[in-house]
Amino acid sequence: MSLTVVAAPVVAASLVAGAGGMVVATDLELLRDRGLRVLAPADGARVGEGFLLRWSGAAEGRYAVVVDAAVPRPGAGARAGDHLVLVTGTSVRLTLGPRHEGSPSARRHHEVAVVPLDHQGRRVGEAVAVVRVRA
Amino acid sequence: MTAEPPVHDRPEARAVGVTGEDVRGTLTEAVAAGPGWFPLLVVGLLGGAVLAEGSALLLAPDIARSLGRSTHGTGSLLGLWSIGVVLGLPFALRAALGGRRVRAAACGGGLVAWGMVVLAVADSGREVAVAAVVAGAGSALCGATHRDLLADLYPPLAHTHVLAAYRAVSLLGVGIGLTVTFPLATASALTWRASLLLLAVPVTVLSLLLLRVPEPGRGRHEAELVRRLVGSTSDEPEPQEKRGFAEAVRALQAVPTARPVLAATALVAALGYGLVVFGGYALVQEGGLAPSLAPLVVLVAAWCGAAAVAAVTARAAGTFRHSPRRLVRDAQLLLVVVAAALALTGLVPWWPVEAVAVAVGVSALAVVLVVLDRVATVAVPPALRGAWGALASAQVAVVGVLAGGGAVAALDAAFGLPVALTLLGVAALVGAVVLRSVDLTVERDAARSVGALVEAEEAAVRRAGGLRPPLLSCRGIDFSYGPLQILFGVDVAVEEGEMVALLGTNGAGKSTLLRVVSGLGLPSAGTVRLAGEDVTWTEPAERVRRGICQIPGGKAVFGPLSVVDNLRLYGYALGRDRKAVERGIEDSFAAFPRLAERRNAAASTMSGGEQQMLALSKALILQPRLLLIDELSLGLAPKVVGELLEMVRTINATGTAVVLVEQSVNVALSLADRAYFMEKGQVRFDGRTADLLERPDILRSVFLSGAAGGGSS
Repeated sequence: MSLTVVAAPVVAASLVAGAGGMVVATDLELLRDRGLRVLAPADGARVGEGFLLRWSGAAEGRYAVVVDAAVPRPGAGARAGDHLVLVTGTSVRLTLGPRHEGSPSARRHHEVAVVPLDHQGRRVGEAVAVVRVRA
Repeated sequence: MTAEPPVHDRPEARAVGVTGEDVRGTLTEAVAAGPGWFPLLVVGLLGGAVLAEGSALLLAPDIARSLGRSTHGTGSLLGLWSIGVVLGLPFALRAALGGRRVRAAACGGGLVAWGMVVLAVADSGREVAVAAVVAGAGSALCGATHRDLLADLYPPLAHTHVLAAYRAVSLLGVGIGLTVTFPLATASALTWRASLLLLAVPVTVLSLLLLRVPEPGRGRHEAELVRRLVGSTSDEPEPQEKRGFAEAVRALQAVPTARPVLAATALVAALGYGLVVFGGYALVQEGGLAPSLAPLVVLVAAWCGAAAVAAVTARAAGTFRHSPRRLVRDAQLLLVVVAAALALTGLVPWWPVEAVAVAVGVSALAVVLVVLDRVATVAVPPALRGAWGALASAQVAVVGVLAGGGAVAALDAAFGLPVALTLLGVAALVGAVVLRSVDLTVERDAARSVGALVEAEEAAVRRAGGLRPPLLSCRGIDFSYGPLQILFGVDVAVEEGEMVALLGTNGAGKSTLLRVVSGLGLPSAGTVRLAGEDVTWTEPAERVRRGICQIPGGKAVFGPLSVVDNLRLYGYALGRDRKAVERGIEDSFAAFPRLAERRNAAASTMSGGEQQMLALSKALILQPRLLLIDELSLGLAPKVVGELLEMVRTINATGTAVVLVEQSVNVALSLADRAYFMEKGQVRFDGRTADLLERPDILRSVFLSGAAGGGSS
């Protein structure tokens, strides 16, 4: 067996292990937070103008619910606005307004993201739960 | 004029394995004819693993959410990747034209792996951008080298199987990439970072394993087969002629099949991107499929594409060997199927139908790509295959994916997905029409490519036998001004130090042939060799440096410049060697004292004879190996003609070979030992000038033409 054949997996493993170690050391996430996921509505479900969004997570936790917009960066503070609702608990009733950007087909669809916040209202880690619904 | 036989009736095409009896064969047989499975598996799997990075594009929304950026980042990521492909193009071309393609391919894989790792650890938009650009550059290197390597590693008989296997394995790679990034990641709770790190492992391993693949000689299999055909006993490979970027592009431009195949390849990329990305949107937005299931449909489509390629390869190989045109026609029909699939995806708002349409469309496109690869391999000469691959990669990234994808996105925003996808289907029909021109040219280009190989090998046999190649060898030259063909399969040879007259009627193509030899006109077929070296696509300035000098008829001087300035300008090709220029000027003045007397007069104020003397001085300054003189005696007094002819003899006596285009048979008889007579773009006579006296048919036409006067063509 030649040196290349032996070296190839070793180099690849070292490279990936180094990168993986770097990810962990810098608080970047390799595994999803299984505790955070949207329970209702189902992905792709058709919803009325107002609907109840429920997700799993700490019952007294603080969350930002973002509709059709970029979520805050990890560590950045979340402020309530047109596209962002601050929630304490694991459910919220949402009313979806008309969407103006995107193609005619895409305007009927909305993306809702839930990100956990710390007690100071800053996004915690990279965890996010997403559901896409049709209005 | 007799029609050329179809390519499958030509012994050289059969010998080189381009065509032949309807042999289908199997991949195992094809691989056994080459260096075995290892190179095919490593290159194919690396191609697949590199394509698997494409699944990172489907991860773009996840990446954006992790970094807290807008989820409309797919287009940006794709744009950055395309910029990387363009930035990597010069390196890819250099790699493709150089002799270290294996290392370049491994380097390309390494860059892709590095880009994936950087993306996996990115925590800012800037790092994502760097990763995408680097991965794009790596993709360009891979695109330029992979198929070129496979075509040189395996014999032509195996090309259809090998190229199809490469595409099938690449599609499997896409499927594996999607499996890792979606079902596997969901089941094991891996984030996109972990998925990318996992995908980087095979890319790195395969890039390193690629270094174990031996660097194949460029076109060595074709050369070996041709060597057997011409009866050469030499086992030594011929030295590779190195080509620069500009020369390679000029050469590719002259391959009629190359441009439509390049356009069709870019279109197929646009269709594939539109079908997968916008078809995926249609499945969700129109068809009612749960968004999380959309990647699975793409995954299944990729597997279907791989299966379709595997299923039709044997038949495609047989069809191609029987008639390349027939396979192109099959590809045209498949593009019609793609058009139908796109229309169904857009117009039927029910996801099961749309999913089947996407799978059928992707499968048809995969087979079309194999056909295009095969056509390019046979129509583009082996020395240019890598350059073609590099240009195809750039075209796919910029024209296909970026511009095509952008156009579909704009149509979607303006009119909605049904209209956008239906119009994309119309583009597929346009692609079928584009392939019609390939149908018309592929066999001719294949024959031409093989013919050039045969000619190169014959030149090698001649050299091996101790015979020097002719100083100038034009073989099978076709030339057209737009749709008007001027030259038809012209063969001309001039030996070292020889004087040859080129006679002919008005419009016979004599001057056009000189333009082809000097590089001012590019032939649509045939080769021009200088001392055995192929200069068909060499820049005119380089040909001057190599010793070809042309004196165009009646327009060889710059009227507003003085005599001495004209002479200095002729010496421009000598560069900084001012002494040589001054020496040439003094020689000119010694040969033509009248030029010395009028050294400061504007050339336009001189008589026709004096202007021809000035023009002829160009040869005294440049001292070329081959002097091409067009219509030296036209409209001049006999005494002046005598002086000029004497100078031509003197130049020839110093060892310069001369090709003299003449309408005067007397001039030809007094100067040249050998003559060619051209009529209607073809050589009608080739032999000793004295033998012309026994051909009244030729003499009559020349005399009649001379009596009519006029210019040349």
